[in-house]
Amino acid sequence: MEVIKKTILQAVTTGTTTGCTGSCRVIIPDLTKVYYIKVLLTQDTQDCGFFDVDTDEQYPYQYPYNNNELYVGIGYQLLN
Amino acid sequence: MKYIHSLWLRNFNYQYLIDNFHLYLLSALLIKKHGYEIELFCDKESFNFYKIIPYNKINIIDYTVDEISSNFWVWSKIKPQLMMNETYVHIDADVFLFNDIIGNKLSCGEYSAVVQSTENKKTIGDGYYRCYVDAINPFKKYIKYNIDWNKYEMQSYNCGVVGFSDMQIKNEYCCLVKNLLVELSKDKTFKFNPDVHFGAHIMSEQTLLYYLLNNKKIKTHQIIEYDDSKETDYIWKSKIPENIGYCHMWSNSKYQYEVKNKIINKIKKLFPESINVLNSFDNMKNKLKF
Repeated sequence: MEVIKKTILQAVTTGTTTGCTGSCRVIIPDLTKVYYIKVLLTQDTQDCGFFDVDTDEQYPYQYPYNNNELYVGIGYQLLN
Repeated sequence: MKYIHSLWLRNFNYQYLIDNFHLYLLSALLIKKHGYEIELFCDKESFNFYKIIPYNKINIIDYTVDEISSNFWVWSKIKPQLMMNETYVHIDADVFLFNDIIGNKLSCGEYSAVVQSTENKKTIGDGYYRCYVDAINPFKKYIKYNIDWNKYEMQSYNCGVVGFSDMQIKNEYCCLVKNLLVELSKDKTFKFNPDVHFGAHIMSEQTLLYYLLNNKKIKTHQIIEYDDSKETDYIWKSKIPENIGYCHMWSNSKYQYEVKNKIINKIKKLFPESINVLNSFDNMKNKLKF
């Protein structure tokens, strides 16, 4: 198995991958994030499960038009 | 009065089920903690994975028979509400009621409707407000309800929670939204992209509700009342939600690891008996396939 690191700059939420038989899909839950995806390279058909998403930021989501401060919701301190 | 959750697995995006499971679980457990029943309305694919959440009832419905495009996630919220014939509150899965803040305000007849809050220039800020106004403009021509758009500055109701005791006004609202979504789904000239997506949902779910309830002077309870005396007290800065025990996570924030871990830890702390539900889902998700 070889691990490839690749940055996806543009992606759609779902779509059939090139060269695929039509049953596999790439699902990107957040178009604003950079994903590091591990791809299994093998001639055998294997169930790779789901890709894990890694992000570096603690709270990457920002409320629109308010770039100086980070808010992830209202009342989110209640989750602490 | 009962609470309802809704879920529509659109385009077989099973990752959505994985990313949202802990949200539905915590949101539902908190409602049950306050002594209310909560039901889930979902498609049969979602049912297979969410049936382990201890809902009082799970209703399997088919979202695909209404000529509404799967682009419109809001239909997952509206269709179950169309089916309701008793006082209810729909709560989004990313909304957590740490206190019983709605109580019997609907069921005792004090109010006919309940919403989270008003969104306007003052509560969400100029920039986001302009974004709202621009986003909904293309959809005004589709609205078959007599609205004087100049009567109010554009406002809308955030529907993190939305509920009704007046079934007549509820039906009118849901039919207005359904008609709009059907029209948009039929219009082949309608191009779908993220900006359009935003505007269509704001118009259908939030703006129509605001105009309908205000035109008809429906007595509506807002969980978060805006304080007009504080000009810059935008809702996301306000301490009101925290003080009353109301949490609504935004957009993709809830999918980040830090936030997700906090939610899972909250479940383990408040509802230790539900750890087995989390474990069961961990086992099940490994069986999910594309």
